[in-house]
Amino acid sequence: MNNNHKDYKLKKFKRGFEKHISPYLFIAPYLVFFILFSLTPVIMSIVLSFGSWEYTDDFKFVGLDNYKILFDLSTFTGEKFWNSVLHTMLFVIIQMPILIVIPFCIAYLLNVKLKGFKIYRALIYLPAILSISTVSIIFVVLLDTNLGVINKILEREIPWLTSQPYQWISIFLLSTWWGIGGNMVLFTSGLQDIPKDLYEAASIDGCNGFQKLFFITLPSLKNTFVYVVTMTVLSCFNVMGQPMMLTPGEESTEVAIQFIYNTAFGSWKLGRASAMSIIMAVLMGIFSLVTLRKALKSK
Amino acid sequence: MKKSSLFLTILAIVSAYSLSSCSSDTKVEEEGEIVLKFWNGFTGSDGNNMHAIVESFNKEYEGKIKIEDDTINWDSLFLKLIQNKGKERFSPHIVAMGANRLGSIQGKGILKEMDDIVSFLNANEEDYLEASWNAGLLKNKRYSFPLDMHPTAMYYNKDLISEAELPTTWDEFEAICKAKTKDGVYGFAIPNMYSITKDIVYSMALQNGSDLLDENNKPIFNNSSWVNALDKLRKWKYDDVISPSSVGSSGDLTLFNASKSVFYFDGPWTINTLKDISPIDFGVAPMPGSVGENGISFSGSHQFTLVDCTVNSERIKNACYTFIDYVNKNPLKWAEAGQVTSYKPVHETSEYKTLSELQPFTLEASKAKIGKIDYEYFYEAYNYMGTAVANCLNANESALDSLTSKVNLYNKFIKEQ
Repeated sequence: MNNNHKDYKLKKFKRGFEKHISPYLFIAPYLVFFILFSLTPVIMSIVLSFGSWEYTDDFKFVGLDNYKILFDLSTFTGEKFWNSVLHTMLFVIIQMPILIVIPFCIAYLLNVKLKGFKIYRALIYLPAILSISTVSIIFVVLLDTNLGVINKILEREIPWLTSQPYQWISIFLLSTWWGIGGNMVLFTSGLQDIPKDLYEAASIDGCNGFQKLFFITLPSLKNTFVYVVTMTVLSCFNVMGQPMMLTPGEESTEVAIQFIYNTAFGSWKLGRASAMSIIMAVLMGIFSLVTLRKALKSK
Repeated sequence: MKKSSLFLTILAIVSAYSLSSCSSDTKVEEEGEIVLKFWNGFTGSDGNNMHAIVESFNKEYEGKIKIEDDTINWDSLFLKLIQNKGKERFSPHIVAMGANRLGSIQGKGILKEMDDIVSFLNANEEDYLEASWNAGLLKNKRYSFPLDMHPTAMYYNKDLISEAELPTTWDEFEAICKAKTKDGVYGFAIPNMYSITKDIVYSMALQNGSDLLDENNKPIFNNSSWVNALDKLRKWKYDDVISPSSVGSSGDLTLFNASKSVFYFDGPWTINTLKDISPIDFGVAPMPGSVGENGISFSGSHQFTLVDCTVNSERIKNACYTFIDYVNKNPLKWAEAGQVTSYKPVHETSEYKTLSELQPFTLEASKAKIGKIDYEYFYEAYNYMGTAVANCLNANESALDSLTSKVNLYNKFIKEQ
């Protein structure tokens, strides 16, 4: 009888452990990393944004001073920060649609499985595996005004990397070439998940290609679009490598993350840089939320 | 052994090894060999040659002093110094840095005073290039010892211009550039972006009797001397068209190597790069206006500094001085890297004179000026000036507008410090 009771208790403990404890053990490794390397820096950043710290002195609480300076356009930091935010917004507004429409179109066209489609898909994805430094060096050489291949082909002397609006055009071109591969793969995966019998049924009902696209494909890809749009918005807000490497030292392409980086690690003003980071995070959150709500609403 | 026990044993061994590796490696024993950490940002040929100097020092002082050198990207090096202020375990003993950063780093209280190095090395002021010797004196205290100077000189394509035609004044330079600009070849490709062009403009302003900052450290790089200098370059580019209108950040070097431009301006570190990669036969001449009776130009300089928190005993300090003395008294290897050594006696040796491309830089360095580097924000003023130069040459903005807008921005920046 005692043994039966012990067995019963052991079984109960095991069931309880499996149901309530083991899930947390499975996610514990990720949770530890998340707390150490994501959550803690965010909390520290929020705290720093209310203080003044330049590494060599003690942290000093200054309240809202950093934010006051940032929202005062007559100050050096305020003027330069919001200029850089404008540049970032320009990049987001123009680049984001490009990085959604073009990859979708490519994924859709390659989904009809033309001859050699796997090779095309691999070639289009290839730039995504390169680092931004490598890609930038390639584009600096290609887009050189006087000896670059692009101008030689066009037989013109377009100042791609030295004058506006060409500097921004170069940044968009590089970002597009580099970024379409990743989103194309996501759309491809989404397209392959759509049941084929929907298209068969539509064909039987006499639907043409456009009708299938608008009434089957796009609605079926709603979740994929939501994910791609959200991730693309976030990555566009975090742009830094492209302007930094294509147009080094150029004020008219300085983006927010660049200015925050220079403030933190060049001017050594961590408090101010943290305040800027918080403002950028809020902006990104608002933008993402608006985009997400619009996408989910129209479901 | 059960699998779980084996796993735990391995885990214990790995943990013990990892923890033991965390012990301090900067501890200097009271007796025996002193190990010193030396940080610098020298890459390429500079880096290889400095490392060779370190190796040769270590061999000579084996058992007594050992230098462990680390090459760190310049921006990261200064950031690490700042972040690790006061932390002996994470700081070096010796740092080689540009003179233009001395003021800001010393302002953070990181550097150790080195007033006694002159007597320790038995160094004579006359044996060192004047500008680099004085660069180490901040508010009459010595915080660094000179290693080298690196002015900007004029590289030229020997196939496109003969030595007899080389200009010594900016008027001659303009005339020869106009004459040589034809058939797809330009006199001088002037970069649109932030580049060494700022050093040319700074040199011109010095030749016009001005400087970056006045005696009260107020920015004056929008006065008539500066405006005239920058206007000259803008005129060359857009009116005289001795340069393509659009030259990217390395576009000037690309055009020079492609024999599409006669002249190229850069520091001495480019000598070895051009020797390695350039298909053209090139020569070097002093920048116009930089030599002769009233000659002057702007130059950078590398200096040896000591870190206060790690150089905390007489024994360590003397070991650092010994290394600095060694580098100074054996400067040929550093000269071969393409740097004008501050130690003048070596300039007269036959070995140094065989470095023919370095001679024009050496001539310039003897008359060059480094700037008011004792001011904490000199480096920022220098960068704002550079941005103003780029904006004028890129956007075809007037020199006065461009320079004035950056003076105003710099003043705003100073107000916030």
